[in-house]
Amino acid sequence: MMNVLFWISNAIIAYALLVVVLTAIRKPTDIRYTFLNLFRQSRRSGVTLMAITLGGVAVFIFGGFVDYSFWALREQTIRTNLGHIQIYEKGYLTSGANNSLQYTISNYDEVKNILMADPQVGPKVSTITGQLGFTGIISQYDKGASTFFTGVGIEPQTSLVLGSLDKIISGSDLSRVEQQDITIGSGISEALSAGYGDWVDMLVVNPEGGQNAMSSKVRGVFQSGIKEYDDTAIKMPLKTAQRLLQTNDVSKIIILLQDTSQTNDVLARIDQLIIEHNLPLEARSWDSLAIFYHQVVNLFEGIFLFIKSIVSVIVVFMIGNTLMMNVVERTREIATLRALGLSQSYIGRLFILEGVIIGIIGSVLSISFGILIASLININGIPMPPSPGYTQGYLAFVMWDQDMNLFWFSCALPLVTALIASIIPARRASKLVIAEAFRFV
Amino acid sequence: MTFSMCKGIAISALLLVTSVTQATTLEQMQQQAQSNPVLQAILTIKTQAPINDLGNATAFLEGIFDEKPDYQVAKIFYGYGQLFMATNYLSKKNYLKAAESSKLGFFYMDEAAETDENNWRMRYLRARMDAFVPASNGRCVIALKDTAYLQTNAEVPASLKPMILLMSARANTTCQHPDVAEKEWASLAQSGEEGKRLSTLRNHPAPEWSESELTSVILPATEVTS
Repeated sequence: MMNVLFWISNAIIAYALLVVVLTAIRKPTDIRYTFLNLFRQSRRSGVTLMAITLGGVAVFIFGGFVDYSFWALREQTIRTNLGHIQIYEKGYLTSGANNSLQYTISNYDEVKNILMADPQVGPKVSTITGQLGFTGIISQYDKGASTFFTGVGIEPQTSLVLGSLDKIISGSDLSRVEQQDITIGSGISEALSAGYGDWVDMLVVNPEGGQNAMSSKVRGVFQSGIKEYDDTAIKMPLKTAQRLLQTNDVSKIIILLQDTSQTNDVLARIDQLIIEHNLPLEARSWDSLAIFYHQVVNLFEGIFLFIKSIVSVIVVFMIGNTLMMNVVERTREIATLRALGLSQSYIGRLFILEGVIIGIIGSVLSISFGILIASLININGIPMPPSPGYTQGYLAFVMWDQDMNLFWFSCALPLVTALIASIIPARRASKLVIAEAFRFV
Repeated sequence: MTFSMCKGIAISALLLVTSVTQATTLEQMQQQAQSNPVLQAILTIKTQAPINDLGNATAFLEGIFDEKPDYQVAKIFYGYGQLFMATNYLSKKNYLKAAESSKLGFFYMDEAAETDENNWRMRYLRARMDAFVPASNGRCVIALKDTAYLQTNAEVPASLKPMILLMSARANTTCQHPDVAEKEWASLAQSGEEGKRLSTLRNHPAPEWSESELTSVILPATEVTS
């Protein structure tokens, strides 16, 4: 549906530009008369242009804001230990969370070497890490507090990049030196009243079904802003987690790429490598794993479509009204032109031209003012309240220089709506009966 | 009124004398740095040089500790460099790079200080950064741990004690321990001329490196590793 509208709009824009170019070549005086006619009632035309520009600017700014919000949410999702691509043992995804330790990757180093040696994958990888996921109970006996946790064993250095948006609010990140130390989410920290330097005890179930326990020192408290995650997550060095669970395997391999746009190419190549090397693995992109991201995007896109529709309707009415008033005021002029021998289609084209010129001026003003206002907003950003499911607000910016679609739409909206709005007045002007039009008062 | 004016003039004179002495030491170090690329890189980072020089200096130090993992001072100043670069990214609103850089910076500072926990110079250098970063970095707890260690370590020269007290007071303020912090500020004001000078920097950014810091911490640290 959106594609059909896109191509129809492109056809309308092409037609509008063609009308202007052909007129400029064949009858340049018509362009001059169009401007003179439009600004004969300068206040009315000014108000119309202002309405178009306001609509265009609103769409431009809101579109840039939505683009930034999508981008920020996407990168936050990816950099909160999701990565761009995850690789699992076959069956892991369908096994459910409870059996995750039954489907682990035993040859992590071998897979990592295969991926990094591949010329299509290796250079695009920013970081690659094995991760061991597990669950258990964490307690601080001194305070008599316990809670459930979802733990990840991860290589400390790679966790810096992969979890770069897990903000440390007290202490440090994981360490390669202090391997026994762990970091905990802010929710767990509050539940246990445990902070930097406190000792906690963990009880987990190993892959064989036995119970293992370990004491660790808290070296940091992190906060991602996602409440669910902060309330249950703990991190520890991969080797420590493997020792705790008595395994040398990892649950998944997580890959962070240099750029999110490389995801599909790299995923396709990884799928090929899995088949070529006959590995019992399956790969998934962040796109298929980030359900919450898609829910938010769908919600915002719905709101954006609604706003675009309202603005389009307002612009159509504003331009239609201006042109219709022009037709009414110039009824006797039109009659004179017709009496001089100008054809109906020529008269109609003059009014279409007026609509198109208003649309072009509106497009230029929308983009110019849009960029100006966006630049002003981007100096300090706009403080926003937390998104659904988040505990921290964020600074919103208008991302106007990354999306050609935004420019296209901000130009297309005034131009297409102006042309559509000029159809009825043009038709009315061209169909005037000369004798009746001369008698019009 | 007259007393406060005299006090102001005295402090200004003291600052002037300190900065002259410090400049002399810094010049000497810069001369030494011509034949010591590690020291040169450290000085580049210490002075928070422009982003390109900073990037080159941190990349150089990374190469050094990749080659010699025990080069702890290189890791510490690599961490400093990453944090200064994070500030630069932040000013350009590149939040992702800023987050990555600051995590990397603290990670290497911690690694250097934790690899040899009894090396007071590494602990001092870590505290020198941690005590002055914003509360949102959550580093005050580590600064308190390091300054507590430094205050009880007999190897630490007496000339550094006022600065350690300043760092502790700043960390206590950041960690929301106002009572302890006030006591330390008062104690700092009474600990000689240097303490008096430092106590005026309560809400200021991190002070310039003193002569004592340059000669007792940075130079020996680079000599040990070079």
